[in-house]
Amino acid sequence: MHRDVLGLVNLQAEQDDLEELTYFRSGGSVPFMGRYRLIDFALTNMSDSGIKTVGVFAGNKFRSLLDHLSRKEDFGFEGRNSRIFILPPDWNDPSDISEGDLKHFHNHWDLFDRFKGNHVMVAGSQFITNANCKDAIRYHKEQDNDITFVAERRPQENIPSAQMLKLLTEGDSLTGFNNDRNNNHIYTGMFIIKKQVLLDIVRYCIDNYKPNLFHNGIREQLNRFRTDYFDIEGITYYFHTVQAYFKNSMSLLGNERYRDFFHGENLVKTKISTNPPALYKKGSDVKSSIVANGVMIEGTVEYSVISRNATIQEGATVKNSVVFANCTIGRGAYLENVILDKNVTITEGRMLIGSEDKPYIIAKRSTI
Amino acid sequence: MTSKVVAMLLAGGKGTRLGELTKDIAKPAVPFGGKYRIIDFTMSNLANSDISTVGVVVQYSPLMLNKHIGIGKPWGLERQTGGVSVLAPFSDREGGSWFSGTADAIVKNLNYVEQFEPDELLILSGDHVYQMDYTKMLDFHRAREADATISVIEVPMEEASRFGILNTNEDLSIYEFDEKPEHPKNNLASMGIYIFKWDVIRPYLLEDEKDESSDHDFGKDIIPKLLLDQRLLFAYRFDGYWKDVGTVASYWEANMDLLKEDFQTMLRSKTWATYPNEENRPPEYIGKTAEITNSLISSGSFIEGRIEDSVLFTGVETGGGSDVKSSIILPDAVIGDNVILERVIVTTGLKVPAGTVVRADGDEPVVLSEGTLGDYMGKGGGKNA
Repeated sequence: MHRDVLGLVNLQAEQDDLEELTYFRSGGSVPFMGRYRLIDFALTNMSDSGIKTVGVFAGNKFRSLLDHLSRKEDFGFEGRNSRIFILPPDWNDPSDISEGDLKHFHNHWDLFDRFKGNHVMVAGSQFITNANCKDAIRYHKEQDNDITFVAERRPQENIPSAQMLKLLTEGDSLTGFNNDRNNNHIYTGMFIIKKQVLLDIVRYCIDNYKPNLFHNGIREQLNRFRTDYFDIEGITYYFHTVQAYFKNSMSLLGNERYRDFFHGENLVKTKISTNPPALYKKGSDVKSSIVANGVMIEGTVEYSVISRNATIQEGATVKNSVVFANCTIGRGAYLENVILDKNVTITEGRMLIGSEDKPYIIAKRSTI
Repeated sequence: MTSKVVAMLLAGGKGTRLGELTKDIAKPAVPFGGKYRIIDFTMSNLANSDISTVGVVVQYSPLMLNKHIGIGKPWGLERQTGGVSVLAPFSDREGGSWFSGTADAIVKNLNYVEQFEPDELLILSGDHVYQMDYTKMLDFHRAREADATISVIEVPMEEASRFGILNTNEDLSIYEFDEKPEHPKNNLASMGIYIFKWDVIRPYLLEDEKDESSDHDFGKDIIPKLLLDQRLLFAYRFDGYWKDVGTVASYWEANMDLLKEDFQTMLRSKTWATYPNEENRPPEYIGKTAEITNSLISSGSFIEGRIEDSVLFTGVETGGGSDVKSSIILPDAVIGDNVILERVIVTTGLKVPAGTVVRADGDEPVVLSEGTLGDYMGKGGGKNA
């Protein structure tokens, strides 16, 4: 449908600000809801919008990303002409004077050069939605816009508290961006741009030693382009802080919410791995939780996310927590408001309690 | 592997005794163990044994099976040489006909086998649940320079008369084959897994094809002829879990076995994984009122109510106030509120209306399907089967 649009997931433009969760991985590869990683939602959005070719600007911490994206078919990029190009830092041009995320654009110029279509859809991984961008792209093309920013309007009481960009408009036209707490017109971080316009902006930024494509090349130069916005409607989440990450996880543990977000028309696609169905042993007591494949539960689980291959032993209690893959919670242990990163072992009888506003994070591979 | 093995997986069986479960699909494609199909165990054994030239012979209702197997991708068996081929009955210049027996199915696919110039032919069935390293059996076969090796498992003596029994000498060479003997001499049952030297078995197969009195069956016709000619046949002992899920009762039992402490490790093995043709479904949601004990639950499900000693497949929903006991719920079935199920197999995609009560009384579990659901509805306290 929109095969003339190149998808670009620009992880390089994002801060890795999920504390311990992003010490050793990019924001895009942070696990979410038992089996996904945050980048899955942008990729699913793109493949559901009919985009066939995607580039991922990977930044330095790309190991887990390479593994995660190793089979493009799993993400719905099927067919000979469908590709995911994972583009880690690869700077070998001696004449290169680019800075910041422009380094990616300069050194991965071929991605744009070889793509035959006329548009690029740029997304990050800090925003997820169950809506796709089919209509936004169609609108962008119909209006013959240079740049169309994807936005949403939220009820006043539901504006995310994190510092993030909002749209300023006069009538129907976009005049700029601000950080106003009370502005409910939220910029999702996604935009659709004519390829030629993008390439002109890239050249401008590089020639003028500007380090940030969005801020220097687009936001500061807004009136040079024919810009517009498109408001999407759907369930949306933002991931600018660990608190937000935790709150989003807990919010999706509502039955209807979870159903609406994950069981809609299009399922969120992720790397397919093979684990047996979850085993609920005698003595297990699981309520209001989501449980992934390969899990084995003998203890109590309430309002929690239990990811692939985790084991909850007899008498252990996991409450309001997020448990990543391959964790073991020992007998009689008690966890509340905790995020356990992958491969954590909690020994027998241990008690860990965080608060709803400040979940206790246990780093990858630790034994406590 | 320097020596060339071609595996022929016989997956054309009708599975008549599985009744409603095989109404529209071949027995090997019947869902099993929460997210698998029966044939996944054999396909995974091949993958884990690194045997990658596999002909899957289909015949009865192969639609689902064809899609499931494809070119073997879920098992990593899509290969540049060899790989997986689904082999359906076909016609050529001489005409065409159905496969009429296990041996006949091989003869009719002779061209398939011969293109690989194999040293050995491995015959497998898609109807069994087990985990087996075929390379060990191949090593055994080669070390003894056998013409044929048949995999056997010890069955309880009192059940031996239901199986093909192999009578062996002390060195496990076979001197006699008893098909379902009334008075079995021992309890080594054939598992329907054979390895043959290709150049030895080839003429026997062609000979048998001409014999109009033959049923063209490996067990009934080919093996006895090899023994008659004093060919070197060995029994290869297999220890471990093996189940022929041929009847509704044994299908139910085999699913329940997965909940037993001894067999739970089977699906969880890291060294011998069983690969399903996995779908991209979200993790299951366990609701506020759920009480689950000793059960398997799979992705894409929404669970409320009591679930006990049961196996629930992908995409299942159970309603509040329901009580599901010792039952098997196949993919995408929806169990309404306040439904009581005991020893029931709910078929794929079935919607069981709220308040339905089904309990199996006799030995046989109840198979609840579009066709049988009506028998249990609007009967107040419910009808016992």
